[in-house]
Amino acid sequence: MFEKILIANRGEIAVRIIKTCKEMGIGTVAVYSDADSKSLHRMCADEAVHIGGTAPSESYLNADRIIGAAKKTGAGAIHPGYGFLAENADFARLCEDSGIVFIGPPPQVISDLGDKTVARRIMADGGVPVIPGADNSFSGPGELAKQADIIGYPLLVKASCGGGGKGMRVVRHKDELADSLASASSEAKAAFGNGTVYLERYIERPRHVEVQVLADRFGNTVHLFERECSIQRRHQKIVEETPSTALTQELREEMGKAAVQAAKAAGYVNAGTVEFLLDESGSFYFLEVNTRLQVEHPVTEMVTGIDIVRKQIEIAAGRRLELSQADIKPGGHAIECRIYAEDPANGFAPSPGRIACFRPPDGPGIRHDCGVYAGFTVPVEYDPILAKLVVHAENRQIAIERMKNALSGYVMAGVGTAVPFLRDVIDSKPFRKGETFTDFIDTHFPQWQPSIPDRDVAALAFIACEMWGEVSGAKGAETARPGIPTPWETLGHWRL
Amino acid sequence: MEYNLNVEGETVAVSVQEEDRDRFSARIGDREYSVEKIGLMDGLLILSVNGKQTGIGIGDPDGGRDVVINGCPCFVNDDSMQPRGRGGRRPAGKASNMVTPPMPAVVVRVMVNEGDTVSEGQPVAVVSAMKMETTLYAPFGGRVVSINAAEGDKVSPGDILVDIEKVGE
Repeated sequence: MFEKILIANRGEIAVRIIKTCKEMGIGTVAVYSDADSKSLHRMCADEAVHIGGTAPSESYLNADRIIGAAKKTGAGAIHPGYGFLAENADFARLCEDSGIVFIGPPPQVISDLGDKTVARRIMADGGVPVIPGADNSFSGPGELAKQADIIGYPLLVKASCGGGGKGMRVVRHKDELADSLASASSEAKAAFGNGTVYLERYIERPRHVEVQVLADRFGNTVHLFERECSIQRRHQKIVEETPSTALTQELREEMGKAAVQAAKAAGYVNAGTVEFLLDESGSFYFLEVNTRLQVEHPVTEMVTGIDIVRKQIEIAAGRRLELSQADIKPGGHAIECRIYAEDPANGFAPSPGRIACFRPPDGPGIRHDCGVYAGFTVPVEYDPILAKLVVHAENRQIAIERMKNALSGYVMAGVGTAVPFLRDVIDSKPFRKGETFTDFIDTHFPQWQPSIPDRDVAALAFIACEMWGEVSGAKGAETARPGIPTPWETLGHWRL
Repeated sequence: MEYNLNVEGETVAVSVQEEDRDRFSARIGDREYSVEKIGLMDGLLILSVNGKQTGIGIGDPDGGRDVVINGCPCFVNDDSMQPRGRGGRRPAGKASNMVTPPMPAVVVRVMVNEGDTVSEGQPVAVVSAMKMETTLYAPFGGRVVSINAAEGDKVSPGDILVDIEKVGE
């Protein structure tokens, strides 16, 4: 086993990985940028190395500096977390070449699965259901038009190297095809440096259901069942749960088998996630494989009792998976809400700033993976995820009540979060009925505004503070740094 | 004591009578309240309002307080202490007539130069906060008088990135 692991990430995921390392008796090395010198992940680790400037290219995306930090501290392995270098095959290769173990799949698997057309071909060859579409992305517009007729409308134009909805177009009629191909291709070229596009059938009102897999180097592959991740904004998940309300036991087993088949077809090793689109008839189609730890992995951990990060580390260290599919018996229901620094009443615009007061909920069946603390200034340069609130209960209904109550007890002042929005989502009829499709927010919460809490109580609380003095002590800390305007000084009354 | 508070943009007039060190009574309209301070816990203020206990998170933005009740934050300030009494919520986005970021951000690029003529709605700068880019547009047609920000600068709402002089006035 490794003596020391470097965590090439920041925020809640770095903190979460450090915790498992500590449980395993493994030393931890954090890396941090200028903006993160006071960050929680830096302070939690046994050692911390400053790797450079605030810009990600100077720090968390700078492969050479991260490898340098690993060498300097004698870390035998690097855990990349999610985002940043987690799905970068070149980085994985550089780790290998430097004699450091990359905790993730082999570089070739990362690059194969990172290319959508290659991944699609691997899956189709491996017998995994793929969305009907064209396999040859290098064909010209004339050939694509012929393929479009075979696939049928509505169809989707997608960028081969795309993600996040960029370079993607829904085409409902034949006469829109040429324009959509041209605009998707130019958008893809601008965003990814590659204008290659391909076609596939557009699935109406799909659900996003993914399956967690674990694979060791000896060909043992198991799945840890599904996660339902249909509730998304800007193509990014914000609520995830397991089990999915859309699956029968039969379909669950079928999708699990397909995920294992997908992992085997790709030669997968380590933890990964096979994403599927599930249509209303119960047909499912391969979407992509995320070759890393997922943000939403805790819901799976809650119902299976398996620490996925521990498994990742064990597999990377060459251990055999000592789990057979029959050993994995999920229990109860888990829901995760992502807590981002964002303003749900204003198009989910980011809202960085200083956290003045912070008290997350706790109690039976509540897990809070968190990368911030009261007094921390959330930097503007990085992803706005602050924390993840996860609940586990014996069934979905109790899990919903537990989550609703936990969100009501979630106190964060100073930085805006979607907590009030998430509470309304969890408490809504369509969510309670399990009617979660990828258009959930657009359909049910298009113009959401927060309900104002009891104004009288708010006024009385304000007076209580005036009478009984400073309660949060937030101002003292700010005056200790004269000359550097804090967001509060420059923002005035602006509500984050 | 009388308070004129602004709670999320609405005025709430409160008449307060201090009872003892940890207690006050208050009247808002025709509603009577008895408020007791139970304690402070990790920055959370625990009050009993008419016998019902509530934990309240308090933040201190300039000129007021963020009060978090049941997970929902709301902004409260004192109208009598702040004669320019400001509402809780800034009207969203487009009404602004200056080129300023809507949130603390980093300048990605400025697309105009000093002396340029710009038309209303023309993109003039792009800022980024937390991996999301926002384009700032010329609020009206005119001439660019000065550029006050460069790529990589940290900027905040109120900072005018591009000064535009109205033409034809």
